[in-house]
Amino acid sequence: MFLAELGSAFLLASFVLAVLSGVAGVVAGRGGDLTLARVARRAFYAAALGLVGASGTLLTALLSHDFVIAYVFEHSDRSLSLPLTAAAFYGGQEGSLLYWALLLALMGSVAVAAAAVSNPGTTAFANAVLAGIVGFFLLVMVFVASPFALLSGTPTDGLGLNPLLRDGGMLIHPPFQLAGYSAFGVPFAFAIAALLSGRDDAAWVAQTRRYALVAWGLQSAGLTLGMWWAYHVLGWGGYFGWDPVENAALMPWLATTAYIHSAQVQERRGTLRAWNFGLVIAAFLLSVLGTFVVRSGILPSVHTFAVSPLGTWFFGFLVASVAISGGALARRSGRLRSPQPVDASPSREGAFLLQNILLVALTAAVLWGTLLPLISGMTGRTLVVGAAYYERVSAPLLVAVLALLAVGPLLPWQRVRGGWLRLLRWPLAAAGVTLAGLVAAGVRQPGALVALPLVAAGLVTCLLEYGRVAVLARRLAGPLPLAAARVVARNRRRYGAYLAHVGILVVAAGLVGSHVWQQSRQVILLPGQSVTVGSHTLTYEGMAAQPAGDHSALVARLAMGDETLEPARLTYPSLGGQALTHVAIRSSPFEDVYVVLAGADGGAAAFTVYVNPLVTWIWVGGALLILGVLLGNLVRPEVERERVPAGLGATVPAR
Amino acid sequence: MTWVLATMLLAVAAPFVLWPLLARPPAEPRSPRTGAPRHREGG
Repeated sequence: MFLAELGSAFLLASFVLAVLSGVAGVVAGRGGDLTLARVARRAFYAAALGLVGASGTLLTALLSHDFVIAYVFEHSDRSLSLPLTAAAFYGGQEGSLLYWALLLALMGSVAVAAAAVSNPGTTAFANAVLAGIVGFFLLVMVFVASPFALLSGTPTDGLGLNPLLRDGGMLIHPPFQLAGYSAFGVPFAFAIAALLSGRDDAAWVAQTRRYALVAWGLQSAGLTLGMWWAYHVLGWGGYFGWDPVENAALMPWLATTAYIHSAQVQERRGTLRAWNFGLVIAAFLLSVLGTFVVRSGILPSVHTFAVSPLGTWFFGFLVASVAISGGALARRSGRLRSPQPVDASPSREGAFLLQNILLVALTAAVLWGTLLPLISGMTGRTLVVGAAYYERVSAPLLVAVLALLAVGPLLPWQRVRGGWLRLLRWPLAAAGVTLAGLVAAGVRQPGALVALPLVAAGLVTCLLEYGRVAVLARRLAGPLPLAAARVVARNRRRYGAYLAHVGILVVAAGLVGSHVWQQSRQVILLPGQSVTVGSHTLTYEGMAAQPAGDHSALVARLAMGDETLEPARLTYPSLGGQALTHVAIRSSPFEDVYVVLAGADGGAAAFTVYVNPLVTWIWVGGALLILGVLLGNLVRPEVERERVPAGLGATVPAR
Repeated sequence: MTWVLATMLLAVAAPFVLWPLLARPPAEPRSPRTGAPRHREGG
């Protein structure tokens, strides 16, 4: 009981402080009152501290099984392991709101503290926007959906966590995904602040780009881990189903991918100013839209465990956010006209612009597909698009993006001088050799014949860039690997970006391979019978029932060569007999054998067996991409300019 | 109880939050005639 009161008090105090911070921030920003700006910042820090207190209280309540708190009762029970009990913190509606607000308050505090040193005026507005967003979440938690609401009595045990969430993935996917969503608030706040304060020059781009990269990196991790989890837990043989909630996570990621590239055009050439504001704002609005879609349950989704009556609140918040950002953008639109348009001729900025158009088109297509049931439903006839729509629309756009990954980094800024072919000879050669190799190997699928040569070309382009490291390193004293590491370390933004490119290309190869060459069979087998899929033969040996703590499991045994695969079906009697599939996967670098136990009747068992080529590449590529973000932009933020070690007298030419 | 605890928490936070205002030196008296700080006025 005391924990509930304490947690509610922390939330209430944080709400008051967030309101104070927001009001003080606006007044300070408008009047240029630096003292009031400091008060606003301190109120924001204190609100963040209050959220830390509330989160600590909720964790304590979960771990001490304080079932008088409705949230603890509904999302945990005594049989849950300690890590999953702690993970129930963000496993339900109210807890995930608290987690979101906590992360935004902490990230916002760091961003505001860092920016206030150099730019206190603009930061006061950013502070106000951040306080507004955190304040909204606190408002909802204090007055509508409190994580500390009490039951009338104290039950002896809780209802437990949704079986789908009782998995190791629960410990890693939601924290990153929610962190990504909340992180989009930070670049948004600084973009709106730049518009409100009139300091909409290139400085805001430099300031915002890093926060956008943090959000992008977190969202990349969230998406990759989400796909990994879906692949391992949902048992349909795939990893991305174009579910509205998955789309909602993808859209802000796409918009921010566009922004982190177009920001460079503004930094270098001073153009795309309004466009960049639009992308940062769109990423945040799309993340709020995503939350609205998840929470409202207005669209059918696999994430139905998150549905709640909060949809209306988030819709209101979305409308308010659109109005504020649209108003701020419209007010400054006259000033944001670029002094010169982007040159349409082949150039680095031209490639960035084309990439932006492709990504925005893809975002728009995904948005249309996601919202179509909602929009068409208003006319009385609900239309739904399936995976085929998304694949048909996204395939040509993604192929064009792959081509740009191969070509763009080799183009100089402003304009190509000299021959095209000479510049692109190595990637073109790689694409040609790969195409010939694929044809010779008997590959006839158009998707693979188009995409994989482009992947090879893109990888060669990245290798060429890394090859320049070796050239520069040779000029330095000391062992070559050490010298190369020094060159990379001093140009980490550039080489981090290329590592992210390598990651994306590896992911693309994985997507293409698993999509084009997937094989599957559905069979019913008696013990001793076999099924062959691709080059793998699996023999069903039998079934065993294994009771576990909170569930019972039916485990099938299939022999595959020397190995045994054991797909299972878990049943949770305490949760109304809910059943969960436990997929058996044998992974190798080039293909996964993926077995789902679909059902059992007497001695017979129904299986779906998939052979999924190159799926491992998706996880490896995702890891490389995140490593690239970490290497390039987060570790040493002060290293901005591209340069080689002192004494060399040369800067890495920015082509 | 919640309101009491919240008020106590706010009371703890108040000195930290409001310190910049409390520590701000009082505004220098200004001349009603010229608007300049008073010490610059004079003979």
